[in-house]
Amino acid sequence: MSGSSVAAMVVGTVFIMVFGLATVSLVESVDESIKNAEFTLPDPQVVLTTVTDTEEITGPVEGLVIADDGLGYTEGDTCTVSGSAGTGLSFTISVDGTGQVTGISSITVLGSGYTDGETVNLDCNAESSTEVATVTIDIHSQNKITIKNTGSETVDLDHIFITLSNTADDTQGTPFKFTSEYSGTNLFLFPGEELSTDAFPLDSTEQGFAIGDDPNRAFLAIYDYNDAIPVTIT
Amino acid sequence: MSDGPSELILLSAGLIVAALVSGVLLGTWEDMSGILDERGKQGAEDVRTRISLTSDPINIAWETDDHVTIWVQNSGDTFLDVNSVGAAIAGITMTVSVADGSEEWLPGQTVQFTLTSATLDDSLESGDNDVQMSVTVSSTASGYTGADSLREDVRIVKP
Repeated sequence: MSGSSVAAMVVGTVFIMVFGLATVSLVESVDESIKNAEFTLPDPQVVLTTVTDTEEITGPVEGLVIADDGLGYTEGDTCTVSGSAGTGLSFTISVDGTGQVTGISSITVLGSGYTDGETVNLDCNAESSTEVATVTIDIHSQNKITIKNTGSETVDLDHIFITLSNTADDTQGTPFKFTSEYSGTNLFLFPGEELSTDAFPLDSTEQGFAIGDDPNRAFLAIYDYNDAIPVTIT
Repeated sequence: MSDGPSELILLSAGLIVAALVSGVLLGTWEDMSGILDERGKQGAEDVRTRISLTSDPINIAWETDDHVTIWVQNSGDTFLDVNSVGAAIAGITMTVSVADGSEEWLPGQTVQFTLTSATLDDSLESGDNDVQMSVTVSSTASGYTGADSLREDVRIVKP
């Protein structure tokens, strides 16, 4: 074999190696592009099963009716009640000339955990009553939201938002996280799983509606998936 | 054995032509590889950039000072820039401002925006206005910035 033939073989082999390396690099780039094109974002599917607005077993106080007007009370006194499992209630009273309670001037703190229809004793700052007055409690309705994961992906509960609105007067509340009204320990909603919030009173800051309002539509948003159902108001 | 100088000349000429062609081919392949790499990275960032409307599209209130308030969720897989959001309603460009003080926009997080336009106020009628709203965002990734547009039919209620 001549020297020139050997040189041609060596050069040819080098060319083949260089082309091989270039081809590998090109194929890697194509693979990477395909991999990027195949990347998909989460596609969760969560539906609203029920949304209720009703008086639960216990709740915040909406109104107080004088059951026994007592005696020896002071006009404008700030009171709470005793003999109830509820806590936090605070209100001021109106009193007639004899010290009998004639009405509730205003409820300043609604409290929570009170039972509808329970009759309890007044517990006032000025403990001068000679006969204890009693009031019957009427509680506020509260909302409860139940959702279900109907998709095949596990969903971060913190990414689920609910918006309440009232189609009767075209008002929309503020979106709030499902987890803001959920006290359970779950962090995720697994496929097929169903979860409910605690019963919660509406709040102007949190949901955009006052406690006495009755929004009639609930809208759920989780990424590109939405669901809406009417609120069952009883 | 060599047939003489003519064979050497032919061999040399062949090698030179092969080298030139190889150079051109390798250069082209390198360019293709680079472009694919660039497009791949850009595409990856685009795919990871996504937003979704959190607000109920029905009954979005038109406020008296010429604005609507909407909540938008980062439903993608990358950080978004809260200060580079654009929006248009019914084809009219809106002035966008962050309403909840958010400075960063993480995946899954919802940010409240105010969209303002006196021009739109003039064109909206009292009551229901079914219009199209579009919102565009970009990611904060360095090097390759992803972008996404949200298009939603919404009902704006003007008092």
